[in-house]
Amino acid sequence: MTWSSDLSRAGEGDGQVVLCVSSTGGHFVQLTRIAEGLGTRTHFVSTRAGDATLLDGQPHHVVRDISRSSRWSVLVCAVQLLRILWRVRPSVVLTTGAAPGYLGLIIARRLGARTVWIDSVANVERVSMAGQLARKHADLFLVQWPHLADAQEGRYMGSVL
Amino acid sequence: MIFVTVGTQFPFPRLIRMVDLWAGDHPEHECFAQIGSEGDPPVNMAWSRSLDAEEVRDRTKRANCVVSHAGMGTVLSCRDLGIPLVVVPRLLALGEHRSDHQEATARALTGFQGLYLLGEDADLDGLLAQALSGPRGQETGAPKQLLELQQGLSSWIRDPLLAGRPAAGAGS
Repeated sequence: MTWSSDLSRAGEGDGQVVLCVSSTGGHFVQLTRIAEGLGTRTHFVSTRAGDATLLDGQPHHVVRDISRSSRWSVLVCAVQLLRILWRVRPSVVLTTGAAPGYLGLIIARRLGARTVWIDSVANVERVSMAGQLARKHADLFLVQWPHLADAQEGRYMGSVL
Repeated sequence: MIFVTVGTQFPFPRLIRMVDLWAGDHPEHECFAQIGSEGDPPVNMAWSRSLDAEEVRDRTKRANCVVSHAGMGTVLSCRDLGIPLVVVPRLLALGEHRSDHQEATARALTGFQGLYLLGEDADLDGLLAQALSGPRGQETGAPKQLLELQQGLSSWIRDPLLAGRPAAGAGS
């Protein structure tokens, strides 16, 4: 199952549709900061409806939080992500973590989207647990501290700090 | 007003107790605490278990000083708004997080203007006095490193060679 990004749906930029996925809180704050400079058509996914107030009117979708929960919640979240991916059809999926971002990355890549993991700037000494797992599902794996890139934990392009 | 927040993930009773005691000794300061889903509520501060993103932003804007765990959402908001921030890292040894990363995060943030890190002496009173009398910063725009990250990502997203590649893992 795959798709090509539908260029006629593009509103801005050069037709790229980017889906930004993360859990609520600091991960989402980082994600919004990073995404605001991309100049693409962007949709957001997080685990809390109130997070929409941090956006500038971009479409926001809510999925179940799976940071501390059951297999059932993981399944619900996966189905929700699948539906969002199917409707939005992004060419790129971007995440700062944690668990919902990891899940989103795995599904998105199987559907043919390019995937980017940006490890949270909170991880100074080593890449997060979710990041370690996400590595092999990410086309681009970024860290936010230069010394982590030197230690070959990922690539450094810059940081929200 | 002093705004105390433990973030969205876990409660942080040690932080709430600490600031609650301080608030009892300093009735001249109005305090509001977001305390998380569990734990005893404070007695000397108004409180709420959770706040949505907009309420957090409003309370942060109105605060003279914020006291929080070493959560990046709070750190970024305070930095951007120029609000002094007292940071109390969650300790793995006390079961306050799932890993010890907040201790490292807090150390990495040492030296940031307007950020006051609670040290081993746990002198919250001294730190709050410093934070409340220190200069309130300016609202700032995106820092250089963020612009670089955005530019790097933007060119990666638009790279025609990458965009044209067959989708990895795409099956039937």
